[in-house]
Amino acid sequence: MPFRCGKKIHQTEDKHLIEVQNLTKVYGSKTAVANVSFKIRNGRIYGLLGPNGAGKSTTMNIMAGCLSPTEGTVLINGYDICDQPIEAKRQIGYLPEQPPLFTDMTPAEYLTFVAEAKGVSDELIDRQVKEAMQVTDITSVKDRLIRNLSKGYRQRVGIAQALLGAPDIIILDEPTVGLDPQQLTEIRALVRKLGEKLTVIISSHILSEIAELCDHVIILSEGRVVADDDMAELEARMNPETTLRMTVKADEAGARAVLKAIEGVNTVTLLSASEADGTVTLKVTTSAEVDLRDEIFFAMAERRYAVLSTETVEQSLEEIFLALTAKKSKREEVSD
Amino acid sequence: MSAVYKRELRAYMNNVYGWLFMAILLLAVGFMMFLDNLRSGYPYFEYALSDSQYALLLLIPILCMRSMAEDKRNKTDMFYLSLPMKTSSVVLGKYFAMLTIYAIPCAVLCLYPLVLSAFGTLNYATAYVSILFYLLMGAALIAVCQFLSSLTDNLVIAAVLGVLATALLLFSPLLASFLPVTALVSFVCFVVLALLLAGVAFLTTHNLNVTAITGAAAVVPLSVVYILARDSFKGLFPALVEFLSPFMHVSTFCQYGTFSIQSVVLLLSYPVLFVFLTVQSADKKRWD
Repeated sequence: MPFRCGKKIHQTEDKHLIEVQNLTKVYGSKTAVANVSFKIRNGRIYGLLGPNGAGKSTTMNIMAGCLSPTEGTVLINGYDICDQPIEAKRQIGYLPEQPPLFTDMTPAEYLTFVAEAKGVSDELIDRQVKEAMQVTDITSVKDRLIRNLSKGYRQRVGIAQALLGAPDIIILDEPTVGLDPQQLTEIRALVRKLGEKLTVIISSHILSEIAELCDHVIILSEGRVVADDDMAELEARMNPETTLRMTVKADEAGARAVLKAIEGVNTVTLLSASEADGTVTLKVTTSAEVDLRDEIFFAMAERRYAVLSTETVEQSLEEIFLALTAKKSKREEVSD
Repeated sequence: MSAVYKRELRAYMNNVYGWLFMAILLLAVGFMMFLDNLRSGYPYFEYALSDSQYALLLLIPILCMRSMAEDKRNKTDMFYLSLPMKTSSVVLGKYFAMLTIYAIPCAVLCLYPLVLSAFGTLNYATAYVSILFYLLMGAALIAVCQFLSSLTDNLVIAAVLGVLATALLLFSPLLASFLPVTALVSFVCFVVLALLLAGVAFLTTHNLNVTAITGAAAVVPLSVVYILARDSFKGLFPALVEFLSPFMHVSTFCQYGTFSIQSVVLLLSYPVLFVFLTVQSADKKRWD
């Protein structure tokens, strides 16, 4: 655990590092965040997902102490960010959407300044700076002016400053925005590496990124939490039925008759039919608890219908996200 | 605070800004010393200081323009807000860095009377106290310009606001001296000031209630006092304007050698008030 020098952490897996309770932020007549509540546990990577304007940055800024909430509280390791801001801020390292860099400094100078500003004791400053540079792999550019560094390296310097002060939690607000594919891959690998040692909260509007990096996802839409679950549980919850997509060499009516006769098949929908080769492609939904693929195969075989392909279709995070945000909009329409 | 102080000081020293500021200030005082002391033969170094005050009209706003505005422009103000330190520490760190850049040439100015002593007899006491006043005046102006820098994210606007404010402080006693000394004129001037204050409240808070309360809190007591003790308003506005100008206190000492503890208190009040206002302005983003 190289970048946690000078601080010993005794935490259990179940401990909530951050508790966000009924958070609301109003800008004039616009409510950016409305009654948001969630808890962050120790040692996992959390994804804050939502489209632009969903309230991700506002939520993160409040958690980092840069903004004050209109209502609600944020407890970080038991410290209230409003009442005990200094203690609360010591627990977190924050990288805002735009890395807060002083471009007239070199990474080494900048990180030393940040370490001093975070109150790291003199004897630990050099060690922590070196370790942060090693972890983020910027040692080779430590003496170059930040203004001359590429965006990827600047982002790394931004992450390195968040690691200083041995925080328990790293909050990264859209750390991959504007990076080229190579830099993007590198920063994602770095986030994964950090997630092995620390609790990381990362925001993004890129669904695949959250799916790839995070153990747990909190989906925000129009300032509200629409989902807060582990990735696997969220997918299970959003997939109450198993959906099969199968192509069968049969006529539609015959295939439907075979499928309807099988217990556990809920719906059968024709996706396409090809008269040329006499095949139909069907979407079949079944109960999630049972796997009916074998039974369907043998039932079809009995009628001499050849099953050419069968695949289980799962809802992607993108579909889950769209479903959740659509549900919310529908709810709002009803309440209006 | 020391981390911010060191960073800011390094930023000034690693940049042409700081060196240019110090060079021009020393050049301006040196030039006035040449005119007043060497060429005209006055044995008063304070004359040179008094005459070189005009250089501060541009120098201090340019020194201070980036202090807070640059952070807003580069979004590093959010970084400071996320640090485990108070906003006052950040503001003070920046303020003392600018003050140091100003104090370095002031320290060099201490050599000037020694140089002059080679050409004749000099009153060291008034010469060095005038340098102290010069330092205090700079401290006051830096605080004012730092506050103005915190109101915008545009360096040019920050500089222009600084120049306007410094010019107002420099020339306001002269302008006020043209005003009639009647009670009504003073009252009207105070009411205008109160309305300007309400305007500032609106610009900072964008809240009509706060604006109305600020305006009323200033205008109502003024009106009551005016009705009850009208005579006390006679000549009050020009006198107050003169008293509030830091330049007047330095000029009074430099030209007449009159030391007043009131002047020192006033000059020290400026940094206290404006650093406080800058902290509020910087913290405002958190509450917006």
